Amino acid sequence: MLDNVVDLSRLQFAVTALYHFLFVPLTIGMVWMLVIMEAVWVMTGKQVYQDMTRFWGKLFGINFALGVTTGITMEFQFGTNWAYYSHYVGDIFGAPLAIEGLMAFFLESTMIGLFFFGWNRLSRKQHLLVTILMAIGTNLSALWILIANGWMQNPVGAEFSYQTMRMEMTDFAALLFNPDAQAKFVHTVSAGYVTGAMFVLSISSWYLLRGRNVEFARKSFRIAAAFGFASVCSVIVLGDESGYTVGEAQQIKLAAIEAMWHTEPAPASFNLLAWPNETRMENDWQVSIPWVMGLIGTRSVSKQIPGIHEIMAQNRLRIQSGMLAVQALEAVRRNGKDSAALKVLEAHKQDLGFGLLLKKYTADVATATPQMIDAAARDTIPRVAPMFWSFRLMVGMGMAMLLLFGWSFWASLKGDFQHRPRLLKLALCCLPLPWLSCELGWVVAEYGRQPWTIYGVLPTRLSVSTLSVESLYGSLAGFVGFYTVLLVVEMMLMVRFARQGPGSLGTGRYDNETAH
Amino acid sequence: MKKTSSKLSRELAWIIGIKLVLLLIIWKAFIAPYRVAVDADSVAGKVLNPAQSSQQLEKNNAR
Ligand code: HEM
Repeated sequence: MLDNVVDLSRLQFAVTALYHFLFVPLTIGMVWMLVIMEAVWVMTGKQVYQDMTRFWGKLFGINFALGVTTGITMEFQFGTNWAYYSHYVGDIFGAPLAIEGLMAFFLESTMIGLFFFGWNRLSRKQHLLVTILMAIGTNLSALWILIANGWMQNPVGAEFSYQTMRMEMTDFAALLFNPDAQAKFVHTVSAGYVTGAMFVLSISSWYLLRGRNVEFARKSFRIAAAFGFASVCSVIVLGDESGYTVGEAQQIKLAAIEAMWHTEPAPASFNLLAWPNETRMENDWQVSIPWVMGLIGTRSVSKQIPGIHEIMAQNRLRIQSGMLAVQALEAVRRNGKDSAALKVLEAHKQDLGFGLLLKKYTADVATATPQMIDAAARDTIPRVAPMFWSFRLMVGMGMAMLLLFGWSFWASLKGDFQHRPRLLKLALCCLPLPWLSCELGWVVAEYGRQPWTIYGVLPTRLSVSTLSVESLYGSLAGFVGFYTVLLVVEMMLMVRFARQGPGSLGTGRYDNETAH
Repeated sequence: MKKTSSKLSRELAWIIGIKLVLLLIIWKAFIAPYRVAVDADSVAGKVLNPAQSSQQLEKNNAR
């Protein structure tokens, strides 16, 4: 049982974030599927496409209703568990979160309301416009959250102020165009598109396997296969881009993902499989492919990728430089006019966070021993084995989905997919894969950021509030109970309506109209 | 068409309502009483050497 406030607060945030992200990707992806279906209806006038928009829109609505506000529990935690974090970075972090709130409320929610209640009130084209705006709103909400998250990974456009003891924004454009945030945004929304496509593909396959609503399911399958194939290709290409930006801004994360303990001559080899041994700080065994890591990680044949041992040695130096920054900060806080201390602080400010890592071992950073500095340098490495395996599982599932969507797309071009039970069964079995990959992606991104909340700036240990363990267990139980109920209700409603199929629209055009 | 759609809409409206109530309960029970106010001094107290901070306090008091 965890009895430490830092680990419990981390666990609580991880649990709420992972639960929340079970709802999000389906919303992000389904909304574009609805745009495509409705656009085809507007262009061709074929009734089945409107029925598709309405039926899949109904499942989208269930997911939206259950998922909306599930992110708010994370914002609750900023004021309780993460109050120091909130003070330290509130100046920067607050802006994108506030914009997201406004965007979600005005654009996304309004358009979603109009989508559901506007069918008989708006013209076809007006309704399609609403659906497009709903899709844009949903994706823009994700953009602002990922700008905030991107800044936690690569804190650009901000500077520490000793007067306010917080980071202050110096360049809003740098925050917006942070390469990490951009890479995260495109990779995450593509992951959502894959999720939406898989959802439609799997359920349509189930109808086809049962021989129900064949024309409806065939058309849905076709759209899902094409959209899914394009999306899975982009999630892979953009995942490669994410890996590249990680290598630029968070070298230690990349080295941990790849279980690269030592710097190799360029271009480095890629560990396809390995057994990382954290105690020996080596791999017990590995299966490597020459050159590949160097090529994808640096896009060159001559640039080296530093290994964990080398980065640790560099971090040791940064910790020593950070000790000077902490001492200078203490002096400046005592006397704001101490120009010598101000000079030292200015010179070592970029390593202040590294000096603060020593707070785990000593109250007075100035007196840290070489052993403490070594231990703090060791702390700068995220746990390698979970990173290595989470990443490989995410990528492996991505590749499996590439094959599935590739096969489905090819079969849908040939037009004979409903007579391929193996493909249909496979599509049904693959339903959980996008959700699993998304969750693992977040594990890679967030677990790999440890020991920082703001990479290189603020250690996680110093971000948490001093709450009681009992209150944390109480809120954790409350959150878990809340989310579990929501998930169960979501599953029940989804299964009920998916089983009923388009017959639940009550149009008289589909099977199973009397099933309810 | 209207019957099933409006039944689902009613159910979803209930779900959102119950969800807001649950969130309010969680807020009242676990969040509002535990909100922590943090300012520059409390951050300094946490991240800097406490001995230095108390020296600072003593100096301030002496002034
Ligand atoms: C197949 C090749 C893939 C590669 C090379 C790849 C690469 C990456 C990398 C490097 C990260 C960490 C980014 C960071 O720490 O900032 C990441 C995160 C993530 N991945 Fe993947 N990924 C792949 C496939 C997938 C698939 C198939 C999905 C889901 C359908 C997915 C969903 C996510 C999500 C949701 C995140 C967290 C958000 C983010 O950091 O972008 N990834 N991925």
